[in-house]
Amino acid sequence: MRFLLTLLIQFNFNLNGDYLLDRNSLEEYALAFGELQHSFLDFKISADFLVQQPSQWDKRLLMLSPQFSFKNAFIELALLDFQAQFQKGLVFSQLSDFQFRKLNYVRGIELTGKLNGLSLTLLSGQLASYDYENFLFLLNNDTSDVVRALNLNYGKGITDFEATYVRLNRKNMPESFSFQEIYGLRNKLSMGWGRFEINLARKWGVDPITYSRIKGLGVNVELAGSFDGLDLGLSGIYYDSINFWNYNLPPVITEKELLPNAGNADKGLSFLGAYGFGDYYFELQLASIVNLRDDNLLNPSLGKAYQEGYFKFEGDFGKFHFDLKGAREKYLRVEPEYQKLLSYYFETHSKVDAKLPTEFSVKVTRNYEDSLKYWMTEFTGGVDLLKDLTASFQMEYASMKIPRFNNDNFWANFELLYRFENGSVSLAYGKKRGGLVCSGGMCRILPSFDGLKLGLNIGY
Amino acid sequence: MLKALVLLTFTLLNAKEVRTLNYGVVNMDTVWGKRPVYISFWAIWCTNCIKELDEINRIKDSLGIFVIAVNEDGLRKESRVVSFVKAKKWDFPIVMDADQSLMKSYGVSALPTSFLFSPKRELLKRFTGFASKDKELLKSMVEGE
Repeated sequence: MRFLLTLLIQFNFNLNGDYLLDRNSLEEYALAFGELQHSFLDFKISADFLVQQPSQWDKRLLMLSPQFSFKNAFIELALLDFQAQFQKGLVFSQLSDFQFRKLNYVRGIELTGKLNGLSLTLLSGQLASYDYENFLFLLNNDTSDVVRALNLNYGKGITDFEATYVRLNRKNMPESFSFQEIYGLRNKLSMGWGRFEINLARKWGVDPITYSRIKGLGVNVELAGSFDGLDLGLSGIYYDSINFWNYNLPPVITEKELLPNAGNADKGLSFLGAYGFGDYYFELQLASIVNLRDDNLLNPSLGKAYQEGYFKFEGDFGKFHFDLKGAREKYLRVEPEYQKLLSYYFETHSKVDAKLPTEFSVKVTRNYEDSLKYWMTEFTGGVDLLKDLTASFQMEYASMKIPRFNNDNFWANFELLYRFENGSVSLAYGKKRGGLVCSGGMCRILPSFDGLKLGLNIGY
Repeated sequence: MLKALVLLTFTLLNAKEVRTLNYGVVNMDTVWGKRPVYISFWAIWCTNCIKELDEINRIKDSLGIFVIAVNEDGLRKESRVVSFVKAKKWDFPIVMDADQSLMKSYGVSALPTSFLFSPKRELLKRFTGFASKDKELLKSMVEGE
């Protein structure tokens, strides 16, 4: 009994719980997810778990993803449900991210041998992905897609080299003969003052519908140099049909991490300059991505393009911390929501460390969306009421009702957050458009809601 | 003590060498036993993480702590993270947690979250979020060691 108790105490776990009551529909959503893990010497057993219990009874979900792994200086072994990524996601990416609520698993085996900076990984398994939309996780694909991969990595001194082969077989009828393969090479050279990296991928396969041959090409090049706090970088991408049945995530070159054609037909360049001086930091990013096949009328992503100009300044002025961000973003033909969206925004985020520390941010956006022109203003304020209790208020206002925001133009909500050593508990009420929220010293991505929300977050 | 045992495997605590973004391979044998270690989980999009690490960068030498910052932006944004760190002139090693395995091993579910370990690898304090009072608390804990 004592042994069992000791074993139980030695489990690490993290738990996130959400309860939401929608004010309009009176529907409830209850969700608990996290991970339980126990380590002993070089062994680890763990399980991701997810329990979803909404009012919509048919959307209940119970997920348990167990994993066993072994890791020492020479061998790494992962069994059952695990995550994998090769060549920064260009050739393969199945990563889970509970914080941003994306769950992807490889169900199988991964074995890595390591010696003197050289490592060889063999992977085989089936693929499963869960998507999170409207407060509900849905099993997106628990398919018979089978992955086999081989990855060779050598990293020593100034060089980091990676070669990968990945094959995906799709066994579901009527696509029983379809497969795709990606071959990839990546090399990074890092010196004290400069960096150069090239990441290449070539795809071949059989189209699941027409059985014709398909091929793709992915190229990502980065060149950067730094000197005494000034860092300048140039990045380029050329992604022609490199999307790999949603099992890869090609590297991005924009601040917004956007690939307008999802790796189908993206060609772009980006410049990033960053400069830190004393207590101040300045950053400028200019990027443009166009569709490389705008003469193909059969291409559903015809003409999608994205341009971004982004700057950020932040600094400390005594007890006052200030940051200012601004951007010009231009989307073209992003269907079906809008044909064109041009927006400019300025955002400041400030913090005053006084007897009653306060934190506030203001974001003003000017949007041009087809025939619509409107302003959006967002205000967030927070104050540390007691030792570990923070109250925050958020308000957003659009100068007109916006169709893609459910014809709404005003959102306001209030939140109390109590944080303790191993987590936090929160209570929120009101209407929220969703997005990235930083309050009480923490940042989280929250979905939109209208009603009452209880949140719990614990990690041991 | 128990928590330190739990964290001992599969984390930075038992690693002999740690591959970092900006300092090559760090030999952890030269770190443990000599000074307290502060491990902080952060991402570029997390404003409060940046504030915390700016502060830590300012006070780490006077406190005599060894800092490791674990980045959670993912390998797709690695070059941006390098640019950011170089411009910020953060003078401590950055580790990329590509598959978030470190984050899960430490039970981290919100950013920033930081851990202060004694030179003997005992967990002294876990910080969830970073408020101005945490700086004072960190000072008092390190001085108490």
